[in-house]
Amino acid sequence: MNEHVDDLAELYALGSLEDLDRARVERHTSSCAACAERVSEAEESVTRIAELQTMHEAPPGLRTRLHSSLALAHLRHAWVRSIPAAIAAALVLALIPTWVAVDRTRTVAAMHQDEQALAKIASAPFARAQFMSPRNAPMDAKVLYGMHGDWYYVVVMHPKPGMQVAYVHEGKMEMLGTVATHGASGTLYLPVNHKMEELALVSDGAVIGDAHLAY
Amino acid sequence: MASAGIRPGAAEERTLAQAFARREDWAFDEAYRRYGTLLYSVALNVLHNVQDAEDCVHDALVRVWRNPKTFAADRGSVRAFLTVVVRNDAISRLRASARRGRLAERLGREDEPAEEFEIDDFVQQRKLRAAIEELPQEQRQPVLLAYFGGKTHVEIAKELAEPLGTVKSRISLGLRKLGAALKEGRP
Ligand SMILES: [Zn+2]
Repeated sequence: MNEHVDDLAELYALGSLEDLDRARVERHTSSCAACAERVSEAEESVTRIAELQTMHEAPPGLRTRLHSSLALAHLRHAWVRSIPAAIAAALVLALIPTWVAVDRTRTVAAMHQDEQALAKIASAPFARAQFMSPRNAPMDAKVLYGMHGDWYYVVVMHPKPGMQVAYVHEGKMEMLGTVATHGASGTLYLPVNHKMEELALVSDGAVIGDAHLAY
Repeated sequence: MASAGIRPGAAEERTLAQAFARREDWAFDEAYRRYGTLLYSVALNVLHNVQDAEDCVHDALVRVWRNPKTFAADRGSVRAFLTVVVRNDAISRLRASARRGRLAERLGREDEPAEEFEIDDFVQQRKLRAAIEELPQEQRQPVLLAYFGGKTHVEIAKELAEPLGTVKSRISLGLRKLGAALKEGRP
């Protein structure tokens, strides 16, 4: 972008540019002093707003993690420099409470699973079944599934924390996994290769809904 | 919760900016020591998830530090530069996960009512509120949608049914006015 950034300076600082325009502003300001000045003025304004919002202490592991990623040489705290990266990494893990580490794995896995599910939905014929409450009222929950019974994608609005999905078969229940929450919705992708005819939603050990699937 | 701390002097900040631009390792450490809380808060206030906020600060700072072109000494303050870099990164993450979430929601339920955007939910700080309220309505709305709504100027123009150019210049004017008002109030 050879053109000056003009009004885009403020849009950049506010975060209201798409990634592509944002990169162009960053590129241009690295070589144009006039635009760099305007952008930095806008950044200053945004920072003033940001400073008036609630402050939260950064987790102690973050600094260690940055140091280990960047392999910084001249550190003020010699103890960090004196330990090899592998030990530093172990130290970072030790600083993270167990529940965070567990939750993190689940979140990353869930994101990956959503992408797999969306690829299935886009590429293969699928059916859809509605979860019903024990009183037979439709719930804000559905299961999308492959017509060959090779994958299942459960979508629940406002799921209860720790809500699980179970396979109901011959009077027995087999737990298949826990619904991962993103914002208002929760999802669980199950690449189970078996034609399951009944799925249940389980919360706190109780069945709160079920869905009947047809092939 | 912690306070942002006392702002270091201008001369000190200039020294830090120069060392940061030269990629001296101590400058990274010092910048993090001074602004780590601010940067993490900025990310958390956008993402509302501690692990996502940590990942965001980590990735943004690593990217900045590995790309020497991103910050020149005459570029302004390290504090404001990093704040915007981290915030922009957080907004990108939010947009990406909103895209995923929206799709999942559509699949689960078709008649989901549109989410109401309430300024009161976001702006509790009195001084900030006062400065925002001073803005003319035509600037206030798009600036709030940009800052607190995380929307792009294209989305804002569509939402307000105004031409893109008009929205751009209103946001631009609005932010400059807001920045000036908040500066005046500084001790
Ligand atoms: Zn320029």
